Amino acid sequence: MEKFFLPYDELKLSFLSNQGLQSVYEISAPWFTRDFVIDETEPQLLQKSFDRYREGLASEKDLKVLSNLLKELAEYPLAYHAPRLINSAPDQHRSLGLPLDDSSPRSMLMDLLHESPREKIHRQFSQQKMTKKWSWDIRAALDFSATPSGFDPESLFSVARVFHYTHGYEENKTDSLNSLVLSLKDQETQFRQAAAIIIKQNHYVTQHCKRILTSAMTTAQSSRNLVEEFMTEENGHDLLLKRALSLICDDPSEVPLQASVITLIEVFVALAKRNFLAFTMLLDIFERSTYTEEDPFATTLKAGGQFKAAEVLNKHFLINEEGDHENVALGFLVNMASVDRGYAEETLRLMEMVTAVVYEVSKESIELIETQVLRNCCG
Amino acid sequence: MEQKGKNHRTILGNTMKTVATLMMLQSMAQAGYDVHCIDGHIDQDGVINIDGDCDRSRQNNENGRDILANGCSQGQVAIDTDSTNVKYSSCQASDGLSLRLGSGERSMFNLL
Repeated sequence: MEKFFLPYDELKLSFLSNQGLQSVYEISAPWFTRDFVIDETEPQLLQKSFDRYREGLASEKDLKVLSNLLKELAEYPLAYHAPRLINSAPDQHRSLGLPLDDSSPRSMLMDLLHESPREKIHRQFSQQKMTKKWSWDIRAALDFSATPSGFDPESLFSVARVFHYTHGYEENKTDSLNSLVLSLKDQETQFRQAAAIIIKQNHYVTQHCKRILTSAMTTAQSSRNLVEEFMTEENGHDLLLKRALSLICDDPSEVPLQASVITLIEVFVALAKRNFLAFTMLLDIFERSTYTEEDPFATTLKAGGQFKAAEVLNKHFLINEEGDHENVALGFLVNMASVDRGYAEETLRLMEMVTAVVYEVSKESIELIETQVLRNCCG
Repeated sequence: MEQKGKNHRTILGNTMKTVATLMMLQSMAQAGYDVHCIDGHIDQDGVINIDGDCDRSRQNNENGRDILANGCSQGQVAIDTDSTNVKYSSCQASDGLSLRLGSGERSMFNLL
């Protein structure tokens, strides 16, 4: 049965110009903007369909027009995936382990990691940084993804993806972090120290990639070979980050590792062992494209005169872009049948919880730079 | 146009309504059913009254009318039928209700 796509609520479409029967449009979301050219049988057909959809007046034809466009643009995070009435995929996924304490993101994190050897770090992080309130509309996500046989995993994936983006409106401090580092570009020592903090966290993630993916093989079922293939592609990426780190600082072992990053990696491993759908959603967050020609942090490094380290980061960036890693996570779901309510709910809660952890990484980097770099230099 | 509240990750009602419509259309297509939209209403006693005499489905699409959860527009009765058995009038019919169902067909009425 044909897949159907619906525009994310945040998506905008603007007709720009036409050249004969070809129209130029801009499609945008707060996390993405792109122009495209399309052949139209009547002037601004797409714009009219989109406007009618937004006004709640779309016909079946309008929906098909929009869905066909979004199918063409499926490699970008622009659309909800409507649930499929029939999903004949072979793999039945169920929650593994005891039910988690989902009374809050904080309690869920602690319950998930209660056996971790770094439990003390997670506990402290959780108590200081994790909220006690849920904010994702789980009921809407479940209602949207419901099918007669359960909940469509690709629909759940598409909802969690946009919730993660919109959660970032208030919580994502990556731009502030980048600006902070850029503000040090004329003070070489401090710039290098700040940059080293960021690269160290990235290096730690790549170091643990194999452990995470190996764990996912225990829950991947028929997608095991896809995970294995991806693991091969990721092989050696930690060496690139290690090289970048060594170019920016004399002793990488002295650069602090953040509690948020340690916790994030342990959550990643735990999800890989417990809930393959949540694992793919988190992987998607890690592998998202920035839609830039080079690694944005490499641009920052160049501004601070660190060209060699920038070159290494861009090498890593291009390998991921050329491997189309942006879409690898969704591809892992090809074999997943509809899931039951318990699994779907757990997945969404896990994603809200880990989203909060993800957005703490940049905040903690800012704190570290302010306390360990700026205070030493300017205090 | 609908707006989302700040600090609350949700899905707009229009999107929810559309996906419900899609599921219904998929469901009927899967069952081999076609939907036909006839002008109609349900009275205070809950009795279905068909006011028109022809299928409005095509006009709904051509006019870009809002398709609701049962596959028709507001003020219409959705008649879901096995497409091999249903006989319904063309919109050129001038008098009377000429909707006729063949023997052994399945039918189901939904009112908006």
